[in-house]
Amino acid sequence: MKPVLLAFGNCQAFAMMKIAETLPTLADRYEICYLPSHPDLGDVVGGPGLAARCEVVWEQVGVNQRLPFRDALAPGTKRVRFPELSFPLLWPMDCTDPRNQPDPPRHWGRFPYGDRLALQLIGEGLSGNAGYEAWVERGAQTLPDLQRLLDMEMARSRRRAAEVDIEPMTFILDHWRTERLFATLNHPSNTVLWPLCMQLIEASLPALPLAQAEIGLARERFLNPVAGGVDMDWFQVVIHPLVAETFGLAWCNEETLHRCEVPGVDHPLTRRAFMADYYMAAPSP
Amino acid sequence: MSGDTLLHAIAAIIGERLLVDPAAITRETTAEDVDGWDSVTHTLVMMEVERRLNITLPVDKFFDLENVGDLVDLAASELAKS
Repeated sequence: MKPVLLAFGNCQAFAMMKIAETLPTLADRYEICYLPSHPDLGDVVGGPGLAARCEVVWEQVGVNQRLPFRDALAPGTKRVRFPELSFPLLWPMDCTDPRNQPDPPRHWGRFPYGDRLALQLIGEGLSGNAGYEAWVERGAQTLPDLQRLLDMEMARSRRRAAEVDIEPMTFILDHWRTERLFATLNHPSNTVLWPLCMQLIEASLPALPLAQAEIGLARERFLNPVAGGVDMDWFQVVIHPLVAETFGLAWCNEETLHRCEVPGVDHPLTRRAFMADYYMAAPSP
Repeated sequence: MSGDTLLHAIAAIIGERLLVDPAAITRETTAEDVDGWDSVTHTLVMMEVERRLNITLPVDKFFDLENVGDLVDLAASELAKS
């Protein structure tokens, strides 16, 4: 039996496993396994005796649960810790939507992410375009102090950096205003996940003879969901225009499209369509 | 604001944010006790505590809080200053 390379954590760790699987040099040497940090995230991917066979562990921290069998790992096991990636700066009104009826792990419901202001407006009887207009207009009254939230995020980022061996936040903080790096507050896009995995490989297996051609092919495949890559961008939450304006998001405007692959929606939506036709649509009679 | 009143106010915020019964939130409650209370939720809870109580909490202490009681005490000390 081959030794195990284990990715532990949430869907981001699952993505790490999927990338590793596409690299033949890595897949030839290791049985590449995944251990979810929460039962809702799906099943364990891997054979029996996982702990005893682990040679490399990519351990995600900040996911509310630590690697369960870390004390059972062999002394020489190489453990590399990486952070849970999330970015609430762009969605400060995020909340749980009480209308949602999730059925995890494969179906997350029609309203997997909530918006506090939109729900308040719905409660006031607003919907459709009128609801959208009110959502835009009342943002200034409802949104928190965004500079304050940015300060908090910097503090959270510093704290996370002290707990992990891999630090992707520098890349994120350098690029979030010019590139769409997150689809939702806890779903980084593939453009963030790919370099994270490369960092993990470099930190845990520095002598692995990966050829550039192999990396190139795997990257091409991973960044193309149609070709079998991981698709973290299946649901892209709209960003309030005041948030986009305040933070100077170059990639986000009224015409930016949002994938919204939930029951009843089958095409990307503009900001207005997302709110008026989907999230705040009038209930069916 | 008394300690109990402050605890109830903060428990209400946590309850709304995480869809849990505020009555189940005590001073001893930790993030690990509440499903879904991760560092993102923590940040958003802090934001809401600041907004509703009209205070500014010291950012450097945010992630050192061990339980809800610590948060109540921190908020109380900031309220006393304001």
